[in-house]
Amino acid sequence: MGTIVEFKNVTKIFSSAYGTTKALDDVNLQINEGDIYGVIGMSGAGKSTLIRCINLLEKPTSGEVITDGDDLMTLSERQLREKRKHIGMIFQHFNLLMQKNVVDNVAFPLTAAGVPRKEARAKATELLEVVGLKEKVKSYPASLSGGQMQRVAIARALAQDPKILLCDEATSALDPETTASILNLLQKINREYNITIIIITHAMSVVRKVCSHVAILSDGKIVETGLVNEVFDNPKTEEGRLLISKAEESERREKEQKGV
Amino acid sequence: MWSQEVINMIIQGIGETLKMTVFSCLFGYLFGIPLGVILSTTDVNGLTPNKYVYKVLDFITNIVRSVPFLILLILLIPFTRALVGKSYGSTATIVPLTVAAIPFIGRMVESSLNEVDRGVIEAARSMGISNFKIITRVMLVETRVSLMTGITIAFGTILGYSAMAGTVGGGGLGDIAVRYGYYRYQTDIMIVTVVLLILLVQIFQTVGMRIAAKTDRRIK
Ligand SMILES: Nc1ncnc2c1ncn2[C@@H]1O[C@H](COP(=O)(O)OP(=O)(O)OP(=O)(O)O)[C@@H](O)[C@H]1O
Ligand SMILES: [Mg+2]
Repeated sequence: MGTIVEFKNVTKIFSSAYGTTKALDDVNLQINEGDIYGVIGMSGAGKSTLIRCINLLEKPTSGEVITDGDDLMTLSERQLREKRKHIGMIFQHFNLLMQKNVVDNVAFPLTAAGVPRKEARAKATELLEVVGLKEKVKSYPASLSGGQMQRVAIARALAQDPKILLCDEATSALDPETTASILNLLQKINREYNITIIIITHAMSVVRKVCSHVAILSDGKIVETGLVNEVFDNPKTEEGRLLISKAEESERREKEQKGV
Repeated sequence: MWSQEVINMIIQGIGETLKMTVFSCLFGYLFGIPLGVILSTTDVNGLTPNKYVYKVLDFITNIVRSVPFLILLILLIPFTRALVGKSYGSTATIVPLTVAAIPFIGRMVESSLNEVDRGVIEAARSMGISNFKIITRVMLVETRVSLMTGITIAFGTILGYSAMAGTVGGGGLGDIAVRYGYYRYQTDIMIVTVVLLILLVQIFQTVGMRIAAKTDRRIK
């Protein structure tokens, strides 16, 4: 299977009145079709910036981002919007439309693109069945739990028939059980629809559970990439060792405290 | 005292006040919504930041908002006359009322739109939705409760302005209150018209707020 996302020497510099931050520093990355690719790193390492470059919500200062065959930096605004229609994205805080009911939230990417409402709703209803929310079709997001809202967001992303699904801390606001069920759902989507999934997370356990590959980001630089088992069991760099041992240590302690 | 004539005059006054308020609100929103949308989207944190457009509109909006309404009304007399043929009476008063309402409404629309969760806009952008559709299908829809509350406030404020215009022959209930209460010392007529003004504001406030709350899907 081919490469679906490729970063070539991507650098992103934010400049503000307070100075400049190099959020991404000469990042090279290759993600293959069908992967569940995890990106981990400390807070501020540049994870969100990296994932937002994949659909060019954030424009790199220099370098190339090749997503699904196109160098995004060369696309016109219109072409870029067309491209984004096939890249789903889910977020930590779900970002649902609070004034629309569940089915209209899922149908939204379609109706906004001009698909007739009836057709869009039919597809949305099907997808809500896929994510296990058939009985919530008419509910409003405010009445749902976090896990349910994330399922709605996933169904909404699926409505776009994406080839790639970007997840920025998608389980960080959820409890461990709900996290597990959302991760199962992501795995199912990856298998059944052959959607490449890119997951940004603080939680090593998330990477261990679902990812095939992982990249470690530290201070805007990719310090390590590879198969999850290889990287986790045998980190080659100091940053990797530190991050993995520290994080797993604290996760273990957290679990013990909760008496799990 | 309470002759048929006076009663008719008061009924006509109510009609004129409502006409001035409703039309000024309507025209105010016709221009105020685009103004608010541009202010909100060109803001530094907006959808398409544009320092220059924002600064110019922000400045003009502030200027018009700082001019006391009565002064604005007088300053606009030539403009009003050019537009409707005369500068007094309820129809003519719609012109300065609208001019005063536009920046006021624009600000309220701006602040409503600024309430939209940035994450939601980000999600819409990630779906490949154009900025125009993000405004019309996301921002204006997600903030409809706040916009509705704004309409209620605008209505009350414009109604108050219309009464002020009465002091210089603008027609409506304010006109009656001044002519009878102030110039002829008929306090009872003045009190009745003031009570009517209060009632009108109260009714619209209550109805508007109730509609706003009813259409809100966030509380369930
Ligand atoms: N819009 C912006 N303007 C200025 N600086 C920014 C902006 N976005 C991110 N940064 C900076 O870039 C760096 C990387 O931020 P980023 O959000 O990508 O980190 P992250 O790894 O996602 O962190 P977290 O785990 O806390 O979400 C940080 O130092 C951040 O302060
Ligand atoms: Mg982040």
